[in-house]
Amino acid sequence: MSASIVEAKPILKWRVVDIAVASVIGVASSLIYWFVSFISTVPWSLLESVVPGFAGIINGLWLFAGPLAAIIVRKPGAALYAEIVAGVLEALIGNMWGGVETFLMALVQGLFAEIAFMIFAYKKWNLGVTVLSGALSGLGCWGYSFFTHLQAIDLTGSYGIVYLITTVISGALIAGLAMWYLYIGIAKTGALDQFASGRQVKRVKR
Amino acid sequence: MKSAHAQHPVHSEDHGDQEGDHSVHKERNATLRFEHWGYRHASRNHFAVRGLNLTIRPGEHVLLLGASGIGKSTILEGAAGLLGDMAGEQAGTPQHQVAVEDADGGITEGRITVDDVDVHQARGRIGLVLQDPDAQAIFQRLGDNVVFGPENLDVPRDIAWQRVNAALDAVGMAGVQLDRSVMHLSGGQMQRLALAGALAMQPDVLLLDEPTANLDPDGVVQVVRAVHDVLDQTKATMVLVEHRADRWIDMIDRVVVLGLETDNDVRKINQNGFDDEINRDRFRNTVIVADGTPEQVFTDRNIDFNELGIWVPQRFRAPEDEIQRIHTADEPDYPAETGLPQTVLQTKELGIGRNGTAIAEHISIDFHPGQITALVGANGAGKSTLSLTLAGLLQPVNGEVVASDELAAPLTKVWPIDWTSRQLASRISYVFQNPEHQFACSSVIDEVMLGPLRTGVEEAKARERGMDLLRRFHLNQYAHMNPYTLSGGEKRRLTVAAALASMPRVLILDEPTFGQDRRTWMQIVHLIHDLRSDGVSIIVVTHDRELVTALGARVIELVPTEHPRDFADNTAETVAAQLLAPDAGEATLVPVSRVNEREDVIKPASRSRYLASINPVYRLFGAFLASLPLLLSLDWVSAAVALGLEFIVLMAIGFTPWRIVRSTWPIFIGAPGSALAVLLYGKAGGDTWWQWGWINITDRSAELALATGLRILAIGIPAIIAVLGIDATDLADGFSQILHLPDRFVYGGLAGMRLFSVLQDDWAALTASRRSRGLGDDNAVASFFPQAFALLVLSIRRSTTLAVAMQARGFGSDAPRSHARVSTVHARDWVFLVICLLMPVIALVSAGFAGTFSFMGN
Repeated sequence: MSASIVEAKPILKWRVVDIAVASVIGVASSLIYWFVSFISTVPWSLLESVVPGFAGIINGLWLFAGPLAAIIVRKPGAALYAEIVAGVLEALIGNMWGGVETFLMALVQGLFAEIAFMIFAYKKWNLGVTVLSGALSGLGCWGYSFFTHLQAIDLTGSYGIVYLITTVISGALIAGLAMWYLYIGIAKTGALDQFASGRQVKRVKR
Repeated sequence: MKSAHAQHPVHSEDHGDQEGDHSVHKERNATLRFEHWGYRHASRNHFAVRGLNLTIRPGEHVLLLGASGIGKSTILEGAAGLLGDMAGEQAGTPQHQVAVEDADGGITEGRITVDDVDVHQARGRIGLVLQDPDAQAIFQRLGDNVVFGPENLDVPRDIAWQRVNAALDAVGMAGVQLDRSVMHLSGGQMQRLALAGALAMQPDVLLLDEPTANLDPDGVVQVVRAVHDVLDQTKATMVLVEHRADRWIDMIDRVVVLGLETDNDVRKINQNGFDDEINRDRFRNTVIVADGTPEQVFTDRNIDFNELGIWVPQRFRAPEDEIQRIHTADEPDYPAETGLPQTVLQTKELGIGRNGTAIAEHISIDFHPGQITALVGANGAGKSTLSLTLAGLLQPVNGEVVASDELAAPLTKVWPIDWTSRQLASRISYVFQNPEHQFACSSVIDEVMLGPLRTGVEEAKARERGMDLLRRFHLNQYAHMNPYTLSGGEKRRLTVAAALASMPRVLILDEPTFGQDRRTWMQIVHLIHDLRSDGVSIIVVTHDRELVTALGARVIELVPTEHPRDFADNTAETVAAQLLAPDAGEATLVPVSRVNEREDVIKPASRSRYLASINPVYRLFGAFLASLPLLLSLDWVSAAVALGLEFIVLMAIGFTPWRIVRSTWPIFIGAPGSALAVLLYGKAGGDTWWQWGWINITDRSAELALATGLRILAIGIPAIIAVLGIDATDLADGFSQILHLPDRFVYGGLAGMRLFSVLQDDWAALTASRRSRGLGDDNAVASFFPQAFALLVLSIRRSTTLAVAMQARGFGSDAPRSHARVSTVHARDWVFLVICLLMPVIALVSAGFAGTFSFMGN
């Protein structure tokens, strides 16, 4: 009956569903960050007492909203937008990281996560770029800490270096690698059928 | 009341509609026409609808029927302009000859018009109300949800609020508090609110997709009455999809039954056997198999309405259509109402409640093997609270839930709440209302093997038992599929199968028939009844009168009363009285405290009246101005001066020192931590106090540690207090109107934030379901990740539904929008910014004079 199908061109303009999903990923992430802050207090002190700065290894648990939103939604600014929504929400409920500061932190981390996808002109959406995004987000997180509360610690001293390495590794693994597999897992549930990212993952059709 | 900068009428007292334009009472309707229309969803092999030709004339009220999976919801979404986009128009060819792919990955053929205008260009002319009441509330405040449609249509502010009042009036909610939260509305109220939201757009065509399927009997009455009144006034064209047509039949004047045609010209109307959805092999196009008045269609003996999942309206019902007490093979000879004589679980003087406050006390009930008990009662009466307490998932407030020795054996503890998750899973199972709260595995077979594996059954045996169950529940062909991809009825069957797999002696099901069509309903009822032969004690939480009849269940009703002793007087009007079949025995009544129909107390935007009166965007900027400049110098003088000034200013605007500390306590814990890190590893200088490994405490590091600790407080206190309590809606209005950020992102983000509390409830439900399934004993870290995954899947589902609800109100185009709330700026907002900036400036200048200024700690 239909001779041909007029195919949709991949577009960078945001649809309503893109906005809704990126924003809700931010909201769900802020809820998860909140739980993480409860269960991580003890491990944090333990890690700090093993090797100073080593606690950076769990920083990735606060960095994943950006990379996750970006690889699911695949629109310019998705990482930044999801982080900002999470940051505003946390600022309004008042928390550990100090009100409006959360907003700033989210801005920095989201922007750094965004850079990875921007470098590839929003055309490459794969494991490598996602890991890079997580790692850059870790870099942003580390830079923010030393620019603000840890000004008194030498960036290039042993503490600074250890904190840098662990935070970047943590970002790459938790906010990058793990988010890539999380996205595949979510795509397999069929929840992402409306997204190019979801249709790319093969699964049994019905 | 509410903060000063967003102004709108707080109560809808004014029903004036003199101008006519904003009246929902005006008659308006249109022709809705499907021209060879079809749609294939992304990732599907078959079109959901194809080649549909159907014309609905102005003012007609059409009931649309068809088998599950025939595409009824797709048709309504298409008619609402939510599927496909306009790309085909530019192609220049007659549209029905091309298939057009859209950005969602779906494919459209043909077109749908309203009065000959393509539906994509007819924003606002079509109103859509969906099945799930919760999914259609977009914003936190009631009134904002109704005014959202008019805003998206760029209706001027005054007229928009008049439309809101008229729409709320039309659905029987006149005078409701516009800024109360939607959180405490009942399902019926939520659904009427959704209807009001659609009406405020003044649609010519009203589309209703199973609007009452998820409501309790009272909610159904409310919504049907509201729609009836609205149609009476507006004479709008209406298309309804609904399985329980009985309640609607008086307003229906045309019934259309859909079927499909295959390549070899075979017409199909029904599903096969236990398939949940109609089989689409060789599907060619969607056809209309019956079309006429209710009288003509429902008396057509060629159509088996029961098989279509339809409850035939009473007046057309044949005797065999009535729901009777059902019977299943191998049924035991004792009645379902009583079960066997011995007790498996009992409550003794039990008090139930969620936050330690009892909503009902002195509940003493026995449960027996082979017995079916129905827990009934109005919305919010505490049915779920009681059932979760029985299931060992919620701590009793007082009294006890006691397992029989036989159920507990070999354990010595007899309180289910004291059992470990694994011990619980093999004894009492709970099936949640939302199947997605319960899934824990990536395939259907793993899902049914989980319980047995967790309770110590070996792999091979667990697999055998799992496959047996899947066959019994007709799910074996899906064994290797992802559970989330099943259809609604299949998901429901799977959760029951998974609960049974660990062979519990007590099975509790929360609203097992909610939102199901008659066919799935029958399957579920038979499955439940069949469990009696296994001697399981079954407890169903339900509003469903026919379910109680079909199962012959014992009824326990939770009766809300003002004073527990008065409950005997209310017996006549209880739900149980309506639920009981004439031949059934007495219902057991459990008095519970009355559900609070409270007026919402709107939280002030700050504890300080001054702060609450400042525009939220200015508060945000003020927070930055007061805190960030302090980053310039790391020294104890600037930090101490700033901290002192902050306390003085905050006390001047109404904060007590104790309140300041209470509002910001986490930084009082965080600051010493950072100070310690600086003390041990900070920049060195002066005398060395102590050195060990990387640790190097010196004069300089000690001074910097003091400065770091003080400065974290000096930065954190204003940064937290200036923004604490800002209402998200007010902030969004400010972002939109003062900063001119794009509305799509601002209000998209705001709508997402409303889901925060919804997702918190999801998290609680996930935690409970994991305990019930034997997963609750894992350590916090091991259980955290799977649960976070489940939460993210739920959140994406919720957000895609949210996007549909927002688009149904005309949101998302680039067309101009109006703003029903005003974000205003006054002179005091500028004064506020100056005060905020002065504090760090004074502090830094003081440091300069004291000679301690140290640029970024260098």
